[in-house]
Amino acid sequence: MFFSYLNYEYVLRNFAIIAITLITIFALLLLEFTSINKTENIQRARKLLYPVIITCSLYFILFLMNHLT
Amino acid sequence: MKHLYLLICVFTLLFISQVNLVLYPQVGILVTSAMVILLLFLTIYDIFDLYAEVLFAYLSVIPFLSLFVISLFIQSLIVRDIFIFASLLIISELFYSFLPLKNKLYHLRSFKFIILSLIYAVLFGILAGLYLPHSNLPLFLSALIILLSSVSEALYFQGLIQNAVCNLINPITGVIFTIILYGFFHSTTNNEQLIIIILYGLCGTLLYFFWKNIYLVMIFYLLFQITFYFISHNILFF
Repeated sequence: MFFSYLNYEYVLRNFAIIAITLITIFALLLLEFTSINKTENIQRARKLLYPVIITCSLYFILFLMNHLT
Repeated sequence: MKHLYLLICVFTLLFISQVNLVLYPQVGILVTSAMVILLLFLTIYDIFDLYAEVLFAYLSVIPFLSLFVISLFIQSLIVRDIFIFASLLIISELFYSFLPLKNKLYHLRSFKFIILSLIYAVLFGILAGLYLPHSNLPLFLSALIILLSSVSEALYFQGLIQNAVCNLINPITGVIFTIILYGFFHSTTNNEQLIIIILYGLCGTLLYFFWKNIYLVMIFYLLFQITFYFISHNILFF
């Protein structure tokens, strides 16, 4: 009953935002844990996470601007 | 051989997540985010060689962008497309800037085949424009999409993914895998449009397969889209 009052697209958008938040947190945790391990391969693989994290943070800036203004 | 099995598994998972997103969006969002998390984890998990890790990181971009599409606050299709292609361009440029220096993308090799690419693009553009239905899209925004999409797709699909699969297994598997991913990325309900999109991706992939030059592919995509727009006043990606 409760969900029938809500807009379906609005619910979906919020789900997607929560999913992206979780992914960002996970990626940041991965970065944090791999910083302990100093092997060369892991240090090289860590660099591959940066693009995803940078795009996530850009997205969050957009999201906040959309909500705060 | 183990790499091929791994690729098939990842490919099946991507397929399941994309189909779920279209049919049952609420379950699909969960599956897609689990998929992205798995791919990011495999990127760091230090059991495979470097090329496999690179490929996993690249592949996580596709489900990630499809989550973006759902969570956007923009209603109009054109502005949404501009946002998607701009973020694809940013991501592929970032990947390129974090890569080791031996994987050079922007080298001017076999540039004499540019005429072939031009003829190929104009002819294919005219044929596709006559085949697909006509519509009326605004010039400025369409030009922006054409520019962004051609550069970002060439960089992401040919420069990053095709190169990574070529290094991992062999060039022919690279071509097949890139075309399938291209189909996933531009999944539409219109069958005629999907056939043209796959053929268009195949042409770009084969150009890169033979002559290994990213500029040839970019020019092919750009010129095809321009010809297509002037004939049908439409863009391929709707």
